[in-house]
Amino acid sequence: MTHPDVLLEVENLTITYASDGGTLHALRGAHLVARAGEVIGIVGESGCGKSTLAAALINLLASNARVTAGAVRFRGQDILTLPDAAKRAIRGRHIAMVFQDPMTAFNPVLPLGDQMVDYQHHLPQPRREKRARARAMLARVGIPDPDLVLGRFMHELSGGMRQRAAIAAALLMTPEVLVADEPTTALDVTMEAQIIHLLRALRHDHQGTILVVTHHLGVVGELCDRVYVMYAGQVVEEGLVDDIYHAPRHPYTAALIACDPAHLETHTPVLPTIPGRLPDLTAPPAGCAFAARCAKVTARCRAEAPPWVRVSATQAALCHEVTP
Amino acid sequence: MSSVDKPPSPKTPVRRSAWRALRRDPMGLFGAVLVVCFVAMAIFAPWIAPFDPIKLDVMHKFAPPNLSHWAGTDQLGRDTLSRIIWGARTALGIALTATGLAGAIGLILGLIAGYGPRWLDALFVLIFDSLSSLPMVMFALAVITVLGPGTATLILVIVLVSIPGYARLIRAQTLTLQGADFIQAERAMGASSPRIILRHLLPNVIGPLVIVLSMDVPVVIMLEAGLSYLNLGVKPPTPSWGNILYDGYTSLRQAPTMVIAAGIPLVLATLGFTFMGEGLRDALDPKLQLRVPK
Amino acid sequence: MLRYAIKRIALAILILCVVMLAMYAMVFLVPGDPAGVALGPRATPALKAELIARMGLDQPLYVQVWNFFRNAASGDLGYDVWSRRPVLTMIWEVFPNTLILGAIALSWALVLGIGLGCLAVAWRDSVADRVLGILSVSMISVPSFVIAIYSLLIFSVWLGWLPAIGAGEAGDLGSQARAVILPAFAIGISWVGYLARLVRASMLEVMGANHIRTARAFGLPEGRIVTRYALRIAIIPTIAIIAVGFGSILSSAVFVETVFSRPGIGSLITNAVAKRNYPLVMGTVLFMTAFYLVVVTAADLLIARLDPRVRDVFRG
Repeated sequence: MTHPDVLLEVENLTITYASDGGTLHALRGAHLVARAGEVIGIVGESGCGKSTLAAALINLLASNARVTAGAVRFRGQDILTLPDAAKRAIRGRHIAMVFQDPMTAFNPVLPLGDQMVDYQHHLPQPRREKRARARAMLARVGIPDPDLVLGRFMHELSGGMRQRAAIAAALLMTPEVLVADEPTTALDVTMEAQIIHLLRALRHDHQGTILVVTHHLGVVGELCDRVYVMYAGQVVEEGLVDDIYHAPRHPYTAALIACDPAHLETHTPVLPTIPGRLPDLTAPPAGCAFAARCAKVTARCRAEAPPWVRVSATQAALCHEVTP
Repeated sequence: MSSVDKPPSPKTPVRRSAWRALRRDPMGLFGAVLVVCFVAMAIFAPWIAPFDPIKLDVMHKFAPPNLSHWAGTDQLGRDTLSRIIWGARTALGIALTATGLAGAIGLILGLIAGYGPRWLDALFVLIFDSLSSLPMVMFALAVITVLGPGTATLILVIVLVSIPGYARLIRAQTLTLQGADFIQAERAMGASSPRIILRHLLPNVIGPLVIVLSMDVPVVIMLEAGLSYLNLGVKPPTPSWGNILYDGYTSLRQAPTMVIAAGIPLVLATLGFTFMGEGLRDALDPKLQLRVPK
Repeated sequence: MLRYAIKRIALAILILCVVMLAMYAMVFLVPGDPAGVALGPRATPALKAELIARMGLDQPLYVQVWNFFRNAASGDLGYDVWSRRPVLTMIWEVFPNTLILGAIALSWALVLGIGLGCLAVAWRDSVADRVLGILSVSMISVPSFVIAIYSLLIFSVWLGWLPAIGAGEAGDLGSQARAVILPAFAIGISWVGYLARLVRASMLEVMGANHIRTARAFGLPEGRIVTRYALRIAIIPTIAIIAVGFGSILSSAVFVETVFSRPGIGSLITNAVAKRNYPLVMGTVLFMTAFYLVVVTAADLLIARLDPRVRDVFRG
């Protein structure tokens, strides 16, 4: 029974990739819940599975990916099992994505305006109206002289403008779910600040939910209400932003926060790191995936898979050593 | 620190992985086998060929394939099989000589164009582009008209026609590498120009060049055969697959086997070199451009 | 766009001039007297003297070169030594034949090649795709004149279905059509293989690109993605290659026309070379070069029209 204003729910999602080196277990029982009006952060290092999760949300998994268990429910309905036409009907209209690299995300040989009109293909209005909507949206994201920009090609726009255009394109159809995949990774620091500012302003108008997938803790801190921390294909902690940053329960989250240079209180000659490496995802360990690198590891951690322990109404962690 | 002294030598690890990749690619292997066969045929022709290829025996002209002449005889009674075997020597000899020469000269010109003064580069580019604007065969025909047909002319023509392509490739590589960090670093440490060229540029540009050279060999074989077919290439009685094809063409009704027999080694040789070249390219650098068919 | 067009055309003209210079200079680079080379071994002293006077070979070099250029610009490419007819006229007589042959060969190769390429993309990584790949490479490798000879052998000599010689009767479209089948087939075969591979590689590269993923993420129908987004980009290298390949089609035509005794540029130039008839050879080469440059420049301009990134390379 899904709560009425839960827009998106990921349930025990398990996805593998067939590759030359064997079967890669990219996602192992990932789960999340996103409600209307929330901004959710999905944070983790490279290889934690967040890109796979983002691709699953928009239903654009690679051809060698297999969903072996779980579901992605949009308004209660599992979108992974829908027929292709139904999948297409959802994309762009109800669930939209802002891609990581705006330079390559847009077609280089078509003007921006043409593409933005194309993306509104779900709507019956004439081209002129669609173009007007595109112009309005470009103005909304803070692009000066939108008429001129509509006629421009991608290589003629600056990086910040491209990312704004990407956000504008995604919002054109007022989707209920907006997924932002590394929205600031391809940008320099000043542009990053502008985009964060823009997203913050936009969320007030946006009635649905925004999911921000990133490895950048600072972005999550600025933008999100709730955070899911991922490691080695699993969700290892969930909680409010304040909980995660000030009272992390999972050892990995705590280590991540401690490593963030912005958090350093004292002058150190050496930046803190988490020792060890990611487990080999072609042969995921039976016990806790973080066991090899954890400071609090016990024999049980290595042998048994950790339980999902709810610490409070808003916070939970995947760990043996956490008590409610 | 030791990695700074010795420039990265791409040859050794690349060669090993190339061999491994070639093993996984059956077509490339097949091509390599064919190439080896033809090279052997070319080298050992005097010992393999049953007859003297230019020995006339007009009594037995146009003999159909029989036990002593496996491919029959031509209009002057010469053994077709022997001529074909010796033809391998002509084809490969000319192809490898011309390609090698063109490659060497193209390498030098390309390095100069890429590394030297801008005006020289602009001049070279203009000349290269102009030469490439001439359809290859047309240019060859023009030179042959002026100099008269013959093996030396043929080699000269092929070399002239091929140089722009290689020079341009080397030039592009050189220009790209010039901006590379490790070259800047070498310059900052006071390395002289010849040293940079020899020890750093050369090893890095040779790889793609070798690949393109090997993919060009079949083109040259075809060009030589074609021009010989028009009686504008290798002069008879030296056996060339093109010559034999021409003889077979003129006597198509009397001895169709000649045409078939001459066509087969030509096709197999070009197929072999092409497959091997493609295999090599896929193993070393799959992004290189395909060649336009001639 | 206009600036780019002007630059491209200017470059093409410059290249043509360089080629003309090279062609003209070849006569002088060869040891021996230029008139003798130009006229060939059958030249009598009287003919030579006449040629020297007419070609202005007794005048200073720069005057000669200038005259040559001036004549060429006004369409005078010299006179054929044997028939005394203007070279340009002789070329114009046979050029349409070669052009038609080339066009037909390219057309059927384009249709089959692009079709097979798209099929290969649809069936990618299947057995059929690999077989197609091998066939494509094989088709590229076999020289066109060998295919010409073999098809002549099979279809004309043995089966007698198609004519072995000539271009058919003037005015009789049927016989002309039948005469063009084998030559067009021979020239086109290597192109089918090449185009199929090129289209396949191009399309695969484009279809994997990020912007295609974006278009899919917005739910655009696959058909529109292929035609409006993918093909538009994938077709660009194809256009470039075809334009450049025109030169190779002309080269193939030289051989194929000889095999089938078809009148055309190929037969014209081969006969001229055999007789060491340099004015005709030089004129033909220049004509074909000019034609080739026109084709390549037009293709470049078309590409610039399709891909705005290209034009802007020349800006600033």
